[in-house]
Amino acid sequence: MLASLPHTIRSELYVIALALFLALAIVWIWLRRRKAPAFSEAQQNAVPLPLSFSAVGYGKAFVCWFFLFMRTFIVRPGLYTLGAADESSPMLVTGNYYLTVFLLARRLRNHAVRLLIIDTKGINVWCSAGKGQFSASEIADKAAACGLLSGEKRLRLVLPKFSLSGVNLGELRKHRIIPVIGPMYAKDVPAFLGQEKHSNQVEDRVDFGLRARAFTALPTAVQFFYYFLGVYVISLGAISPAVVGIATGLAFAYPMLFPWLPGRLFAVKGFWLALAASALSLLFTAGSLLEQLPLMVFLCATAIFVGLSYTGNSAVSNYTSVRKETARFLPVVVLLYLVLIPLYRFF
Amino acid sequence: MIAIEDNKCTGCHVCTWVCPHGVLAMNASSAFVAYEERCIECGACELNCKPGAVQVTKGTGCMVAIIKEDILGLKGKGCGCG
Repeated sequence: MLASLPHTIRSELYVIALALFLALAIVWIWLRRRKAPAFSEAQQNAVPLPLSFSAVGYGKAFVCWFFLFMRTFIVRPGLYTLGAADESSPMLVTGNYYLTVFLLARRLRNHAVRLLIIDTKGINVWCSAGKGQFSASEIADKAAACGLLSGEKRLRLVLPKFSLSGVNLGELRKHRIIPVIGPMYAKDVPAFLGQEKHSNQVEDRVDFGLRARAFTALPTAVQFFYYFLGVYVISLGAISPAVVGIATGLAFAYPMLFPWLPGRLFAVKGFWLALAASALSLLFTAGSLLEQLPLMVFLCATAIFVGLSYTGNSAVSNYTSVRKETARFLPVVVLLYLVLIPLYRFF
Repeated sequence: MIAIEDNKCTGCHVCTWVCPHGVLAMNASSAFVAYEERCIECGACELNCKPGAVQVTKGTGCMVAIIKEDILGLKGKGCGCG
């Protein structure tokens, strides 16, 4: 029976690829399908709780990062304390995305602060603000439920600047909350707290430098590794396993080289990356231009696809532009992949 | 797309404070769009503009979200990612 299977499926490499693909699929499906723990009102509002992470917490944070920042693990909403915080300590608000809380708590491990965690369904601050989950009413409801608005004194609350696309500052004031525009990034919070007066961080801007892009490069590469591992497995090993490596490499290189790739559109940047990779292939491999044409078409399709996919991971894309790009370039990507189907034997 | 109606702007500065990319700036009496190419259309300025002087085409700048929301209609507006 085994002998009747194509030789590609019987290869050691294919078996490893199949096992890896299935293992990642099982983990991914488990993470997406498992139900979020249900927290009772009493549990959510049991105040205040000290916030700490065990060694397992590091593993969970890594999984959040590895799986492209998607909803994986969540933190129970409620009021938490860090260090020797008391009622006079500054209070910050954030969402209940595990990685956000983990990184913030690590940065603030030597500070005495209170942390109000609202229920953003396990989604990060920026995305949940865009969805309307990180909102003034959600903050006010959680603050009231935790008994923070019952006193005569108004509540001074530091907001992450990333949340302001969902939080109406005026509405918070109506709920007797004094909003303070805090830093965008957890790394800047200790310096902010160190100021004598916690003033609005009006000059804080999105950082899309090398470090920020490198943070997105690994999950982007993992995403494309998985896509093309799936293509290799589904093709029953008929296509070259090199496509998995090439796609993963392009997905890693794109964020890292982002500002140096010509053009403003994400897809156009992808095209230039494909051109550079094609030039390198022509320079360092033996095949002629005609022999390498299928590879160049693959590079072009994949690099443009990487560019379009990266719109969601970047901090500089906007809706109007990405909608136009998707309408123009996604059909091009599909067409190029269709052209490659009969040519699969050539690379 | 972002636009400011000069006659509605009271010059309160809030839109310039909440913008994560420094798209807006102030002149003598009102806000203006200084760097339109930087705008990510997050809608923070529009949401926090009390007199309603700022208009933004708010949306998710993500291909996957656009496919789910606008092309396939599988998700509601703003719910296509995460």
